[in-house]
Formats: sequence, C-alpha cells, structure tokens
Amino acid sequence: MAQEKVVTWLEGKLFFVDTYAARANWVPCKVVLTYGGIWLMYGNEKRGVPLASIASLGREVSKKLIGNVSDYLSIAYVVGGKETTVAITGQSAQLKKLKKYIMFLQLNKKPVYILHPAKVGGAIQDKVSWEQGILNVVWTPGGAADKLVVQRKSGNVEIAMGEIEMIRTENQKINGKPQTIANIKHSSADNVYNTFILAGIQNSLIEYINDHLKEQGVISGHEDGVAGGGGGGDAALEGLEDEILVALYSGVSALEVPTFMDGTDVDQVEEIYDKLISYGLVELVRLRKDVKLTAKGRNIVNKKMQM
Amino acid sequence: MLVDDSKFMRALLKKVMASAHNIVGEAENGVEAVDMYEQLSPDIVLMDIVMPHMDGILATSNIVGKHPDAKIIMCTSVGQDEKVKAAIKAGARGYITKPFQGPSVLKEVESLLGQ
Repeated sequence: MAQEKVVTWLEGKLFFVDTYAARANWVPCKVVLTYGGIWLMYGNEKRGVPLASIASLGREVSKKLIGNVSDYLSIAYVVGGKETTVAITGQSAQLKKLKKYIMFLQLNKKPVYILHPAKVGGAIQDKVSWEQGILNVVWTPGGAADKLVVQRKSGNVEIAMGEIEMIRTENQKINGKPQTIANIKHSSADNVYNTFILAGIQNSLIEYINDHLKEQGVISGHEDGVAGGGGGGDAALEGLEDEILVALYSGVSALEVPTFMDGTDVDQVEEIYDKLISYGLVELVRLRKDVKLTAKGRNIVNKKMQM
Repeated sequence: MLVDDSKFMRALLKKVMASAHNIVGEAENGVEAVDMYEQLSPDIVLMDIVMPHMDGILATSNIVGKHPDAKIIMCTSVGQDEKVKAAIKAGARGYITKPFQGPSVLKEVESLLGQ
C-alpha cells in the first residue's frame, strides 16, 4: 500500500469472521492505520487492507461467534472479488479512535453529490438540483465546532455536527440513476434544513454521523439513526408528551402550550416539561413567575383609580 | 382549508396559520375535503396524505380534476417518497414534511398564493 505514514494504531486481538466456525478464534494483533489503508499484523502474518477496499465498518458479528466481547470493530473489505470480515477488539477508546480515523480518511476531501437545501423547515424545495462537490470533514479541538463542509460551485454548505438532529437513508434518482442517499436533518441559527448527500463510501458517511449522534446522546447506543422513527432514544413518551414535543418543534411557545393543548392545565403541562427535561429532550430556558396582588398592592391600585 | 385526520395536527396548522390567514374549513378525510372544496373554494389547501376513507392523493386528484387551478400543499411524513411522487402526479403544488416549522409552512403557503 502506498502512503505509509502512520495515522494511528492499536494493540488488541482479531479474528477473521467465518460464519461456519463454532466460535471466534481471537489472536493477538497490532493494527496500524496509514493514509493508504490498514495493516493487520498477527502471529507471523502481515495483511494489508487498502482503504478503497473497505466495504463497511462496524457491521454486527453474530453473537454466537463473538460471545461476550462487546467492544469490537468489524471491517468488511473486498480484495480480488472476495469479501472478508475481520473483527478487532481492544481498548474501547482506541477502537473508537481507529474507526473515526478510518472514516475520516474515507470521507475527507472526497467527491460527493449534494442537494441543499432539500427541505427548509419541512418544506420540500423542488427547484433545487443535485450538484457535485467536495466533502471536507473538519475537526476542531475538543470537537465542539466539528463540521462537514461541502464545497460546491454555488457556494459552500456547512453542517455543524452539533446541530445534526437526524440521519436516514432515502432512495433518490441522481442523473436518472437510483441511489441510496443520506438525508441529514440539521439546524442553523435561522431554520431547520434537510441536506441530501451521496458520498463515494456512503456507509461510512452514515456511520460517521450515527456515531456522533450516539456519542452526543441524540440517539441511544443501540439505536440505528438511519432506521428513523423512535424519537428520543429510550424515552417512552405518551400521546400528550409526543404532541407537546411536536408543538414545540413547530414553533408553539412553551408558555402557549397549555392554551394550545385543549383541556390541559398548566400544572399538567409543567409536569410533562419536567419529564421531558429529565429525558434530555428539552432544556429549561427560564422559570415563569406567577403572581397575585397582596392587600398592599390592591390598596395602591384602589388609590390610583381614585386619582 | 385544512385536511388532516389528526385533530392535533389540524390544531397545530391552525395555530401556525392563524397569524396571517383565515382558516375557512377543516376536513378529517379526503371525502370531506372534496365536498368542502366545492362549497368553500378556498385559496389554498393543506392536505395530509394518509387518511381514512379517501387519502390525500385521491382527494387532490379529484379536486384538481375539477379545478385545475386548485392550490394544494401536501403534508407528508418522513419516508413517504413514493406517496410524494404520487401527489405530484395528482397535482399537488407544494410539499411539507412533518415535523414542520411554522415559519416555513407560512412561507410555502405565501409563495404558492403569490403564484
């Protein structure tokens, strides 16, 4: 493999997935990621996996094979027309780092197709067309301002990672050819947008965003954001709670909700807000003060009216 | 005019629209919508897709069949691409996906009213 500068590495164990095996045969290994691909070193073997040959990352391996190992990274790659899956286990943080860097190398500075904005605030923009662009994966210290930037002729599109609400796949035709695209819903200061992206390695784009959403607690660890539905991770919401969330999303002010939700009193709505806060689905902006006049206050009003 | 089988969604759309437009009628399904359109001739219709008795696509097709200038915005749920395509064929002129943001719905309505 060309470009041998090391990006990151880890020591752990690996096994090549054989679905006919009774159980995994883990062997100690060293895994080295370079700009060109991954070196798998185990026993006396050294196997190179070019980045371009990686078909998917993080695919689940059968529980029967993997046993009790929960922290692992699977890499499926195709060399000479043959697909091979290797599972690597090691320290959780190192595995996450390895996966993140692989995805970075697969996605950064690569050509994509983009449709932006596909929707604004839920309204489909049917006059916008697909364009070609270059995807830049921007990392910042601490990750607070990480973003995806797509450079295109009509102007750059910036998607702040911290503002992504959801990602799902959809079937769309690009240049008359059916493709499975990533539908990324994200907000900016002024509105909520849906941006459609087709990347060369689409799985990695989806996995990269999903991993971010899981890290941030936007979706739960076992939830696949792409599957859609099931909002709020593990939060079990009832009808009224769901409706209040939708109303808030649509722009009904939190203070107007009791009036808007016919037959719901303020105390009931505030209880629901407490529940939604505890689930991390809404955050407290301010506490409203409810007051009534004292005798002294009423006295002043009476005097004012006599003037 | 609002057409949605969910009372909550109708209330939400009404709330969003109330600042700038009058809601002349509300229907719970496609059959009611077609009848109501004949009676009220509204400037614009916000139409849900999935409804009992007659869905929004068939209702749109019926309305546009008789009134080619009818302005209908379909309200779809995420992942209803095929239905959106059918709605386009049926004559819908705008599309909003749920959940929506109030100002965007208003903008879509005003853009279509201005055409």
